[in-house]
Amino acid sequence: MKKPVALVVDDESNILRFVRANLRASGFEVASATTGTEALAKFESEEPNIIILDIMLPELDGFSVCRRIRQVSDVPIIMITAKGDMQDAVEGLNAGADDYVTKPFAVEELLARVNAVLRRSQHDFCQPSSDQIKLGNLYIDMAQRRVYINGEAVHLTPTEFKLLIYLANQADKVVPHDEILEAIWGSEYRECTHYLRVSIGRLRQKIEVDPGNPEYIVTCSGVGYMIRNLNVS
Amino acid sequence: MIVIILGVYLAVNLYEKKQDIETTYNQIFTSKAEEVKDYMRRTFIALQYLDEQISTIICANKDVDVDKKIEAKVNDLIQYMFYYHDDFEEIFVKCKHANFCYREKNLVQLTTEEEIAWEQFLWNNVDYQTFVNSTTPTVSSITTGLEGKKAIFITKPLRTEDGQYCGYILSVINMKKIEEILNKTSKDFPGYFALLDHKKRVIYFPQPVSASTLSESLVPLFKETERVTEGTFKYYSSIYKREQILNFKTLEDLDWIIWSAAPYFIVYLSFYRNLILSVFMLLIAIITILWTKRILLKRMVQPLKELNNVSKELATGRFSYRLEMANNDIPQEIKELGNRFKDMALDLKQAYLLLKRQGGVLEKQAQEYSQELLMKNKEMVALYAVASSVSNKNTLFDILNQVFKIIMKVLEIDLVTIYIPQRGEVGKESIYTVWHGNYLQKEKTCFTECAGDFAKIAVKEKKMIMIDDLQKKNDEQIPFALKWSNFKTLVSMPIYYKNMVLGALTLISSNSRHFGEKDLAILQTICTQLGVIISNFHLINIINEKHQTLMATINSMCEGLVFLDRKGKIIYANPLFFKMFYLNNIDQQKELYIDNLLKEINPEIDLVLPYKEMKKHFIKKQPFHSGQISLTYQERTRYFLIQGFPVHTNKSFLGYGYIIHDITREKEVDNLKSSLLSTVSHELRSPLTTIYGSAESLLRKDVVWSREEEIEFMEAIVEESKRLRDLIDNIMDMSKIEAGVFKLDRHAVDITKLIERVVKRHRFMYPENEFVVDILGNIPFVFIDERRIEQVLNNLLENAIKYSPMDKTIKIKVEYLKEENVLKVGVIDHGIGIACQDQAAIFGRFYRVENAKTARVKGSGVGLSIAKGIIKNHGGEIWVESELGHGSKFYFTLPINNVEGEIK
Repeated sequence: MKKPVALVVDDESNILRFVRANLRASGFEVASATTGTEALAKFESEEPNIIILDIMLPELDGFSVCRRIRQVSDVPIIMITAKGDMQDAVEGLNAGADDYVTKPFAVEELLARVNAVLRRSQHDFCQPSSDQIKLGNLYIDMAQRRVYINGEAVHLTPTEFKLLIYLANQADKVVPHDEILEAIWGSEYRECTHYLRVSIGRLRQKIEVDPGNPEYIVTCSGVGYMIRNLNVS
Repeated sequence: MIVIILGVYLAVNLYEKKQDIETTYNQIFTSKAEEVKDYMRRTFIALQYLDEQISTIICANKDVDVDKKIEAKVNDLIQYMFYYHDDFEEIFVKCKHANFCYREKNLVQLTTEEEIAWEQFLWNNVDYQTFVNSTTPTVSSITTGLEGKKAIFITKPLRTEDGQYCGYILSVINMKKIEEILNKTSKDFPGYFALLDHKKRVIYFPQPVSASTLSESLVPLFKETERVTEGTFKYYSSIYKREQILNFKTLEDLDWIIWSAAPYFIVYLSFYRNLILSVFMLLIAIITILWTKRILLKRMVQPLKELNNVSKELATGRFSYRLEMANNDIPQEIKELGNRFKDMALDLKQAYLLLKRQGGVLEKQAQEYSQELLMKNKEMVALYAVASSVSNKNTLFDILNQVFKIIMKVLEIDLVTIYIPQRGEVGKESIYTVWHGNYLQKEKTCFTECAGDFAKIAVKEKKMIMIDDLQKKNDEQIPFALKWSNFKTLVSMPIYYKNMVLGALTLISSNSRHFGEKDLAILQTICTQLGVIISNFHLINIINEKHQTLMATINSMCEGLVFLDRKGKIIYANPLFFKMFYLNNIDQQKELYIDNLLKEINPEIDLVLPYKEMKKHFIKKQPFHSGQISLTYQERTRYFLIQGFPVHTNKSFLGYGYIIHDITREKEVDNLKSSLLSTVSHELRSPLTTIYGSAESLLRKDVVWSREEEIEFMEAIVEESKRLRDLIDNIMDMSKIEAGVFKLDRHAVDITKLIERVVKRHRFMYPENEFVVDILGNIPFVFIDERRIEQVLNNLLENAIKYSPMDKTIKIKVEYLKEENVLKVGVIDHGIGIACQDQAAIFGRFYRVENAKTARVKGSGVGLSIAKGIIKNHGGEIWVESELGHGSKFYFTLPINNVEGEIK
């Protein structure tokens, strides 16, 4: 079996060195880059299965790199944030990252997150009750893994797709935050509501007519989210 | 008057006559219409009766097929019917098996052809389906009967007990009867009646005319009937060749139209007769009145003219004229009038003589009166002067000057002085004098003082002082100067306002005249007015002073201030406000609305302001606590904090104010702080991450590392630990410099040796770089902290190496500047250079030039800041000369005199 490829991007050679060594030891083929532009080039040439991306990069910062990759790919991305405040983490998730670690981070933690992200992107965890779901103008084709709004295809990342299906399978029912987090991200993420908030925000951007005034995905303040079946109403 | 009453009476009479004629005519018509209706109703009832009876007979004997009994019964019934009712000409009954036909009471045996003819006759005129289903009698339109005569028939279906159609009764109406009714007209009625059926076919018309001619002449009638069911109108009949008045009515149920027409002229004949009579009577009345008037005039005008002439004579004072009443035709009343007139003339003459005698007394009174008027006039002039001066003069003394001049003229005064003590402030009083005539300056001062003294006394004692004779030598009250002047009289009057003495007015005259009561009254009035004016001026002065203080405060504020009225018009904005928005060129005198002002702002300025919020609070009249404005112009962004507040008096909302505070500096400091924090955090976290990660990796039990890998990890740990230590050292140094506790360990040092040592080490560490040391002339010893200066040199060299990716030649230049007695050391590279705007900032804390070229280079941005601190502590200067892309030249100086001073 071919080894999975990980792309590690950091301008600090020493960080690069130990991360690379540890990933290799965990069975990854590792490519590395030290600048934003180099990272994009390596992404094209190496076709990595996962990217570990620092934010503070020369030439093109981590957020921009992440956004550019997201335009063409759903490859799992873990951001390394140095500034250590929530702002960076949220911006990273907004840019399309799947997860993040904060400097200084434990190797174990990084590896655990890498595995969690890969697990999420690889196997479909929730088997749909049917092959297709239709909620008003929203049409989800499970087999094709496609989502259509008013007949127009919408591109969703794997996390977003899973989130949508998870909610759609329980349409018109309020699903609590921790339940969604556990189901989509894993039990270790039960408390990380900001992941959910960011992902819901991105999902709304893609499927709602007016994301500021959502019709499908309704926030139930302090409890969770609910997807409304607009067929009924 | 009589003529008008007569006219009105006759007109009313005529109108009533007309109404009368119309009512009569209408009544005749209505009764005829009723008659026709009655007739038809009667036929209906008869038919209904027949129907009921025949139905009963048939139903009672339904078992019997053809029975003589039925025939007999029906026969009896119809005979009975004809006996009482002769409106039907023929009756035809068709039921199940038998047909009966009666013509004028007689049962007629019909042949088969005749029966078929009856049937045909019915179905030609009536629609079978409608008829069979109908329950009421059907009236046919006028048609031609079996015998070729005109006929109308009424028919009704016969029904069995269970409502089944089983035949019909058909009765032909006696047309003669209808004709009889319509033909019969009363003598009063000059016209005729006519009848149309529901299909507008003629049932009856008195003249034998063709149907087409008739319907042509009846077009106006058809039009009217479509509009209304009954009415009256006038039209021209082409058949009778005359104007006719026509009444018509549509008969309900039958839908027939009955109308009557009569020649218009004959109907209204009696009306016209009355009209002519009335006009004639009116004419006679008018002629009679005119005639009487003429006679009266002839007899009365002449004597009245005479009277008029006499009265004219009397008016001019000639009482000798006599009225002669020669004409005997004059009526008695006029004669009496003439006599009375004569008596009146005599009385007048006597009265005139009496008046002449009294004249002298009256004249005297009139003179007195006019004198009084003159005084009043003077008062008025003075008051007017006061009033008018107020409106067009600016200062109090302008007004006083004007008023005094008028007073002097009116009251014949030579000098007027006013004294106004300043309330509450001792010594700040004012005395002001206006002169009439020429005096020496010395005299003026002296007299002003004297007059002022009197005024002061008047103020103090709150009463008027009056001296009639200033030359009265023995009066001690009178000052010497006045005693010897040519002034004669003086009056000093306090000026009151609301029971408060505001000052006093002193008037001096060179005429030896007495200030009469009237003069004093005028003076009193003027003083009262002056009191008002002076007090107002006091008030205005106070307000002005406060206003100026307020304006000065507002104008000197460090915040922009703008105040709007309720409609958003700018009432006031301080200069800083305009300056903040680069609106210095705007015409501030113009009416400015805040919305319009925003449009005036230079379009190159990128202005972001919380307009919606501002508007919302403005409308709600609520305070607006904080909004932020950003303004970008010529690549410089300024930030302002805007706060709004409604301005209320006790009662009403006056407007809204905004204070705009420049927070650019705070904002910049804030940004710097956060970037500083993030830089430090980054700089600290990066080495820590490596140390943590590498150490943890080494400790992993699930992985077996090779020897090389282990060494690599450990090396990384050591390297990053060093980096961390350096960083901490640097931060410590910087903190010491900033806190002012930076200690130097100074010795006399040969700086050339120090430089060579440093360069040697760098040559070893960075073999790819070329280092050139240039020492100009003899370099004296310098009293420095060797270690610290080495730190500076290291930093400058490392920077030069870091930022010179291409040309790696670095020059170190040392020279002694005799004139300034300093050593100047330069580190010169050919690297990327530093842009102008960054040159000052690089010596600040944590400042790093951010661009693509510097991004590859690591650094905490504290090195130069520390270097600057070290050099400054040595009493030297540090600076950079550079151009982007053309290398940098860093210089620092170290003063020598310290060395000598310390060495000695």
